[in-house]
This record gives sequence, structure tokens and C-alpha cells, in this order.
Amino acid sequence: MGGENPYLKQAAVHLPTKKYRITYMPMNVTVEVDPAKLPYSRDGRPGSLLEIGLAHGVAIDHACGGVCACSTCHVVVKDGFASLSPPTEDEEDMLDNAPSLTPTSRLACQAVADGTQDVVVEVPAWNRNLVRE
Amino acid sequence: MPTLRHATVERQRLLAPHVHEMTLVVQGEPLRFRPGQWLSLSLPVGEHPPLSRAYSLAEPDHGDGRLQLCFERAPSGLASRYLAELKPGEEIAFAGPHGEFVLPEPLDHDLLFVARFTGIVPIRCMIRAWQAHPSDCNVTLVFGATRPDLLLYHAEFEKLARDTTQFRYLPTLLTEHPGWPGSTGNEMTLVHRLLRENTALVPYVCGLRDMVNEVRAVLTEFGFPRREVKSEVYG
Repeated sequence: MGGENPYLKQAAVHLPTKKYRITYMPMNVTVEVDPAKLPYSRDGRPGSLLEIGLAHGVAIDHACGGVCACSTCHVVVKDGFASLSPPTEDEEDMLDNAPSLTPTSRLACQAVADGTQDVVVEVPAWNRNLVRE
Repeated sequence: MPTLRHATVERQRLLAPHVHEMTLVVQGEPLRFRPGQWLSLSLPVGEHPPLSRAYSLAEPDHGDGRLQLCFERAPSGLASRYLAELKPGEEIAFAGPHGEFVLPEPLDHDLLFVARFTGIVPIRCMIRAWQAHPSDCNVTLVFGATRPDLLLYHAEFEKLARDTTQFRYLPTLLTEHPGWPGSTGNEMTLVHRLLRENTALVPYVCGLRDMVNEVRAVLTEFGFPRREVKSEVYG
């Protein structure tokens, strides 16, 4: 094979350099994210909506452990979408399996905010009270 | 959060150094699942328990409520350390089954499985299911590991290849190993060679993300659309 492997590119992730807020709805939990404290927990990419939420009592289901191998941590971004790291093809593949997909759907384990905007995400009902398969 | 079910540990055995095979018995109604699916274990460990971790099922559903999981005990792995210390009679909470990395229905195409190390687990499950239900389709397994003893279920696959001409087993070691009589090199080289002979097959790939992406790139080169390459990754 010659040339660049199209599948080894990773979407650029810019970790925040200043404090910003994430609000998780409908729990209405707001977290002031301090870049110096990242990561707050173990599951999902460091700085992801998942790992920050889990450390602050926001129970987002993440069946695969936060490694982009399922779509259970699907969230809908209400504000601050442009400040999130772009999705990889792997994330897009997984999102295709998510129920009730919207144009601002993301996997919470993969989306990392750069801190230039505050972020509001809605955790869908099926993730809060999941009965599946 | 997911509805959890519970299972009791029946036994554990070592498949290889640090690789455990654990048999569980589901409490209540047997769990029904498709070969290749995985469970999400909910473990009482970590700073913010429960810790969710995914493990593929290694043995197909026999309707008796038994579940077989495999995991590598990683030195820094909270979940795998916890699991490795569980004794018969102890309990595990889980959700699932999950996943679409499963045998096609109907089984009417030749299959190419590509796995590295513990990536063999869901594929072994599918091969066992294929073996139990005779069909016209042929199966090729390309399986890579760094050492012979890390080719999990190697003897089982060798026997199956001796017993049926429909199963072709191509193990390979990623690095030179004295005394190893078989192939050396990565899985991609073997996949490349196979695809030059035949592309009329359904590819399944399982391993760490970089390995899966490399195999997928080879398959793409031979005209497989990205979405037609069935894959499962673990972190």
C-alpha cells in the first residue's frame, strides 16, 4: 500500500485552556470544568462529556466502557456544538446505530469541548432509564 | 441506566498467561444472545462505581444460561483485576447482550475472520456457532499474536481445520519466534494474499483500533466499502 492511510487519521482534539461550563439536562447539573483537573474520571476520552459527567454524578450509560464501541452514550448537544472536537468516522459509524439521531447528536465518550463556549447537553431518556435488548 | 441482570461465577481457567476464561450461570431465565455479541459488566470498583466494561462472549448460546467470557488481566486494569479474583459462587451484574458484530443470517456467504490476540473471542464464538450448524459457506481465520501461547484456542482451531476442509486456519506471529513452524508477519500481509485470490467473502475484523483500521484499509484497497467491513474494537 502506498500513500496515507485514510483510516489512521484522528480528529484533532483541542483540550480547553480556560475554564468553561457544561450543563447536563434534564438533571440540570452544571459543572465548571477546570482544564488543570482533566481528566476527572477514567471512562471516555480525557476531557469528554462522558468522563466529566460521570465524575459529577451524571449517570450516562456507556455499555462499552467509553471506547467508541457502541452508541449507548449518545447525547444531544443543545449549545456549544461548534466547540466540540469533530467526530471521527468511527464515531459516525456508531452514531448511525443510535436511536433518534439528531444533527447535533454526539457520543459523550468521544466529544471533547475546547472551552471556547459553554456547552449544554441533553441526556436522552433511553440513556437515563435504559431497557434494551 | 440499564436494567441489570445477575450471574454467578461457575469457574475460571487460564487460557494463556494472564488470559482468563470465566464461565457464569445467569440467574433466572437463560440469556438469549447471538454469536459475536458482548455483555456490559457493571463492577463495584473504581472512584465512581459502578465501572462499566464490555466483554465478548466466547461460547454460543446453548440455551442453558451459561455465559463464557474471556479477559486479559492487565496490570493496571481495575476491572480485569477484580474479575480475575472472583471465586465460584460469587456474583456479577451485567447488561446486554449488545452488539451487531454477529454472524450473517442466513449464512450464505464465505466468511473471512481476522483477529489479533483477545480479538479472537467474539470470532471464536461465531466459529463455534458456524461449526454447529452445517452450511455451504467456507470460513477462513487469520489470527495474529506476539507469541505462540497467545494464539488463544490454537489447538481447537487446528483440530477444526483438520476435521473440515471448509475451515482454513492461518495463524501468524507478529515477530520472529524460534521454533515456530508457521507464518510470521502481521495479519495484513495474509489478508492481502487471500484477497488477491478471492474477494467474494464477508470480512469480520476484531482487535485494537489501530489493527482494525489497518485491516480495513487493506480491504478498502480491494474494493470493500467501509460499512461492509464488520468490525469490533476494544480499548
